[in-house]
Amino acid sequence: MIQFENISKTFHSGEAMEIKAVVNINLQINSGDFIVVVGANGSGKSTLLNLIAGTYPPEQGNLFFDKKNVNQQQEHQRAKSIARLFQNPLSGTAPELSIIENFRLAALRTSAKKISIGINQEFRNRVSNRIQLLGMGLENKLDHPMEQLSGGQRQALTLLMSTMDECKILLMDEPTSALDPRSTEIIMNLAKNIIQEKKLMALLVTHRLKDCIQFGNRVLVMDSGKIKMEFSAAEKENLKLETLQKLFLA
Amino acid sequence: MNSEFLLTALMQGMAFAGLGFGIYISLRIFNIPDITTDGSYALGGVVTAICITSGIHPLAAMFLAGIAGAIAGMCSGLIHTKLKVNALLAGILVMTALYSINLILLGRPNLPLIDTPSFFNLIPFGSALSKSIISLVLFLIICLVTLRYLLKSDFGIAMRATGNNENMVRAFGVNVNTMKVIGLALANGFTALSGSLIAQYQGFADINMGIGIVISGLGAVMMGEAVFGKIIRKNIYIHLLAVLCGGILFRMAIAGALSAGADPNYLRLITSLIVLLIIAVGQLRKKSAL
Repeated sequence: MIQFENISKTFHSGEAMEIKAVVNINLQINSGDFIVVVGANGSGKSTLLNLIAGTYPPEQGNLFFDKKNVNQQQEHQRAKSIARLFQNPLSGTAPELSIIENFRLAALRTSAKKISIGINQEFRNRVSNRIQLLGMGLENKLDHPMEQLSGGQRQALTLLMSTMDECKILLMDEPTSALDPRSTEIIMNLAKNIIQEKKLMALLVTHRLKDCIQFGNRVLVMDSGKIKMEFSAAEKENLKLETLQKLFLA
Repeated sequence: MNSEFLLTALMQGMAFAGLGFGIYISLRIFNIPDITTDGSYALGGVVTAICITSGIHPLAAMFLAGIAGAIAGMCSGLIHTKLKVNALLAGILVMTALYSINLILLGRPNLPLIDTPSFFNLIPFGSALSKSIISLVLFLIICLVTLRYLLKSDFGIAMRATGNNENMVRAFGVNVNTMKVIGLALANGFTALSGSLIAQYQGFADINMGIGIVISGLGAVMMGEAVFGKIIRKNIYIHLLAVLCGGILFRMAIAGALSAGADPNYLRLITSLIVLLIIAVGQLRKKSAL
């Protein structure tokens, strides 16, 4: 369970460029929740995700993971339970490292990176089996550097990498905005399956309103750093695309 | 160019390999232009000279030199990551400080190593030349195998990913700052080993021996990449070998320029021009490939 208690975050505080990214947010995310977050550019969606990930601490308020205050925990410490998918499909993988090396790193997300060779045949088989699920033929290219792959392929691999190790929370920040419709479908279906299969808590930031209908059990609409409206699971069932569109144009 | 000249260049190139590996780690793996190199290289020579003249075994002296270099690198790393000082500036700070530290340690501007035991005459048989070559080759094999194992290990993957995509490794639970400090320590440890070998090879340590040396390391890395081309991406061994060969070729290029009659006073100018030439050729190649 994640709890936001009166959380605010301001960038360039006290300067002319001051941006109140998130203002006084109170929010409870229960385990098993898959929340879709929508809102205009600059409404604070990404900041919300970054606060959970620990990219920066909140300026005011407290953030709790399972009732434990994590304000002071840094990103690499929180990484033990959090996997992330970024907007830029290239940013979730290391370009010059091979596919198998990227997966090795992902498999060690929660454990120490020791000075011993961890990529053995067994590990290669494990990765290969998993990559096969994508149906992209990448299982035969384990030793190719990531930079040789397309954005869609890299985003799909990033998503798979997030499941290589224990993970409780999946944060997705417009994961498909740079992808073509086919890749988008593959990625979103894969994400949905992984979330269900691993029973993850998930947050999806998106600009595609139909994602709100298609995915998740809760919808948050953000505006100027605040939660403008929330649709619970029950409300979401009757949610129509038109309602959301009207809300945005208002 | 006579064969003696070539042989000297070959030996120097091999002794300079540690420097090349150091620059490879800091610049290619971590993307940090690390000027600490100038100071830690001289520190390696200075520590070795002091140890050997006070009767310490050359191998132990080299080990201590490597540790000293690693500490210097660690200082740069800590200044860069903890005080948020630009990496280049952090390196310059430590390098400048090391100049005085080297002078204090040595007590005078240079210390000769004449008739003292040295790494190059540890092997009990063979001529002076074959002893030197065998020792150097053994040393290089150990360096290559160790570095390759390290870089292929889980830790090494995290290290290489740090220079490649910092945000990603952070999301994978890697402390980027710690990684950079360890990386710079490792790089400068290798650099100091190189300084140690060169001091023993030339028979003296000098507090000025490190000035501009970072360019030689850069030259080795770039020369290797220029000669080996794209295949270095395939394998870490090949990349490390490229750095080694690049260092030897770089020494040969300088030796060639000197034997063609260039004034030794122009040595550093020649060194810089050769590096510049490699960069220019690389750029032209890239353009013609497009």
